[in-house]
Amino acid sequence: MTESPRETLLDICQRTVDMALSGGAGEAEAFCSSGERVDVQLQKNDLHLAKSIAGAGLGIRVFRERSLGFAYVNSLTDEAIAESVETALAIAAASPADQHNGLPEPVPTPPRDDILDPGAPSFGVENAVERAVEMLNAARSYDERVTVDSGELGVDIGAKAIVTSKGVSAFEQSSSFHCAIMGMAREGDTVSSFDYQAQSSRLSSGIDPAATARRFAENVVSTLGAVRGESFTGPVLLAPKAASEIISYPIIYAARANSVQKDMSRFEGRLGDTVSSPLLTITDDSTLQDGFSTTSFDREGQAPSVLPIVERGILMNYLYDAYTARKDGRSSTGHAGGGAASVPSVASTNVVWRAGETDLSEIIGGVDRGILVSRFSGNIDPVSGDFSGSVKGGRMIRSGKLAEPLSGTMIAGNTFELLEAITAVSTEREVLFSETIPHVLLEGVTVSTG
Amino acid sequence: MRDLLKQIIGQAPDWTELRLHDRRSLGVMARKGVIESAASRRMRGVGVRVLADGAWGFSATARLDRRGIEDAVVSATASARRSSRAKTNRVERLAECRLAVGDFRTGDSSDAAARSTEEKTALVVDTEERVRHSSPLICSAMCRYTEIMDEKWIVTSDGADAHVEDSKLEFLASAVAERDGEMTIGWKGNGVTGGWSDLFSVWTPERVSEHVARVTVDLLSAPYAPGGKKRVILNPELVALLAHEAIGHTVEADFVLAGSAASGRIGQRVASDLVTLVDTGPASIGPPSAGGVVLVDDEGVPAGKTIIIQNGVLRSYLHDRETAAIFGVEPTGNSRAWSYDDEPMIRMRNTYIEPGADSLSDMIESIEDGLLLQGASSGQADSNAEFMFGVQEAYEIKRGRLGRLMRGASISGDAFEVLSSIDMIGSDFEWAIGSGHCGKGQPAKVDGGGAHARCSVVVGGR
Repeated sequence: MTESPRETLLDICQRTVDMALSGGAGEAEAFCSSGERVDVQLQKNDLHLAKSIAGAGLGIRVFRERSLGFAYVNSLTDEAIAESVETALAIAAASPADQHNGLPEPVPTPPRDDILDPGAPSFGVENAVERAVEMLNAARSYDERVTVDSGELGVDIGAKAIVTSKGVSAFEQSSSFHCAIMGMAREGDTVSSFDYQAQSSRLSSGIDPAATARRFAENVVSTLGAVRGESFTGPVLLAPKAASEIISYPIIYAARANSVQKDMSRFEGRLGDTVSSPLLTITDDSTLQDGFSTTSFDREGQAPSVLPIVERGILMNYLYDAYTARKDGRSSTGHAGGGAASVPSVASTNVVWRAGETDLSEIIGGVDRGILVSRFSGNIDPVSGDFSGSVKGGRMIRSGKLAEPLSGTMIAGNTFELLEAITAVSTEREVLFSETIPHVLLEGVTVSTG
Repeated sequence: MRDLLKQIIGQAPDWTELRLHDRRSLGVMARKGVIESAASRRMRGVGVRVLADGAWGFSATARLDRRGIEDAVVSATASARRSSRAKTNRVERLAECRLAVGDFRTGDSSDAAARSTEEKTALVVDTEERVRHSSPLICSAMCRYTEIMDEKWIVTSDGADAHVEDSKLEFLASAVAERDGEMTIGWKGNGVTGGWSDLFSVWTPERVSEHVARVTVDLLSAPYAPGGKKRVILNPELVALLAHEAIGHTVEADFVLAGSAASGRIGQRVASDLVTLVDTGPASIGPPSAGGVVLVDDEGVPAGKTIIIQNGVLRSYLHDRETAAIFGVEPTGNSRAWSYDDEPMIRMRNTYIEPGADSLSDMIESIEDGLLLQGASSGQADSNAEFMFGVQEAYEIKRGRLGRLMRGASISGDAFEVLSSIDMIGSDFEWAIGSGHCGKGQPAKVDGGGAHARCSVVVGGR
């Protein structure tokens, strides 16, 4: 008789926890995942390789007198599990105690039925090849100057289960479809800015490989013939990818409770304070319909949540896992991230920006002299907020219109200082993996050229 | 297992590569007085790559019995045949070459294996504490020790039969300093191939701690660097990053075929004649414990030394067996896979610019108005050779004298233009980027090296 994946994984987790407790653990957690991945890769304007992989893994976390030990193994045989339990216990014995270590109490985690595409298990290499070719052809047929450096299209179908000695027991199955394409346009010796476009979704219908390819092709062709821009301090319009890197990343880093507790956050002690322009509202929502990071439980078996981070410029909440929550004497917000191979730690899920009230065309129309930054390639220090780097896919904005493509242009500043200089947020938003994000206009950014 | 792999491959109908990879790793990380992660990992499985009907298929299994591996061969073969029907340019052949047969070991890691987890944990905890207590301005510190012990058996249909043992160790510390709401971060990492004595021979835990604490605190008082095109001296770490990130990726033959900036430029001058740029499997210069040592690649090709740029002229790309056949050259031993369930792809190993004869003091004296740039805080590059690196420390140079420390600098531009502007290279070679990973879909342990070099580059500042 064949057991269901639910029974199989939960049984493995329970046996692992029992083994750890009888080996001397005070508390034990077993997190098991199994899945299949189909992936078709593009390279050099052609199909490169098709692959199909099945695998599983088990992460064992133990606490022994408040000391942490962790082991991971990708084999689920009794022998491999026993060896890993022993290793985790040995590591715990070697680690110093920490009074805040420990597992969270169980909470209800209602299952979701919208994160597994019923068609995913039968998607297969056949469909992946077909849709990857569709993506490649869409890019190549857009303009003969477009060259696809690489790309991929595929699906992951996975199951995860967690059992802890505190009574947590949860199981979930999900699917993730993804497509990505990257490269440049060439015209003689002229090479455009490099561009990367990707889409991902729990559902097959949530990705459109041809549209992704066309967006990539349009971007690279539009940046052919780029010229060196001008040095000035003024308005910079961040496209969603650049806004994600320059604004979202430091904000989420600073809002993680572990950053705050380790004195690595500019948001330390600032809950309730105004930290940005009132145009900014960001929420972390692990319950989001169609969200790429939507789940019914986090890496520690805690319930998902809708957590406002910044509401009209005011800092509302930090993101907590069980460890950081215990340290602050409160409950986890359900933000323990990671997979079977990693020790849980605080992570964001679906980061959702509230849409602004100004159309993108109106924002551009209001800029007399500024630049559009499609992508940012540079250094961002999320602790201090300092950033400095190259503008990719940049366009000059002159008299309210997009003008010449830019090369050799750099921007620099400090994210936390510039948050108050956000003067417009677009009504249009893009979904970038787990983030829903608009265009953002900043004033007073230093733009320099060689 | 080796016999089982050979039996299975003997019956495979198409060209097949079997790679049994057994990885044991340990990572311990402490931050602000507590252990944040202490983890042991074991990953073991067989990666199967098949070339059928001119197309590639890949599969992998953690089942190490005959049935499990044979099923993976069937799956990889089916994937190859399906993708063959949609492929425009079929893989006609793989380049012929001498394939590795025998046992290979990259370094001696016995002194790391002999140390207990307690000792490694205590070192991490003590180092983090030492950094944090170095100054009242330091509010947070982190230290991490990582070891990866690999054992592989690589067998191909056409004769590769290699057993490889490899160890990669890494030690890293960082700190955050804070004053009046302003924060700075500093770090130092070191990564080697080999054992404990290799890891700590130069960068002892004490030296790492002192370096991190000094840089982090000093940056707090430093003004922001000015932007613009500057005459600069890059330290070995930045030279290594330039060689790897900005040039190295453009000469990976898969990127070349897709139209990278190095495409079609073999035989052309791409750098000043002082520049000889090399990618090597074994450490052909400097200490033998470079962090990216590879003796046999994951296609079973012996990994040698490849001169990419010789005295300024582009001589070679980096190849696997497929691209070597397309270009009509020998494979260079650059085909690498991170884990058993990853397919091999073209990756660098230890990439460096050969040292010259100049001294750092002569370089400083020669600059009227410029910067000495030390340490990278980040690095990104595109295959069109545009790069951007964050710089940890920028020292002002005025009228041939070293001045104050500045922060927040970055450098960017076209890597070949920067190489063409190099007019002085020091003799002080070192391997400098062995910690961390190179990312190209999969991680890879690599290293890079060089000596101080004088050049012109666009500096991003404020």
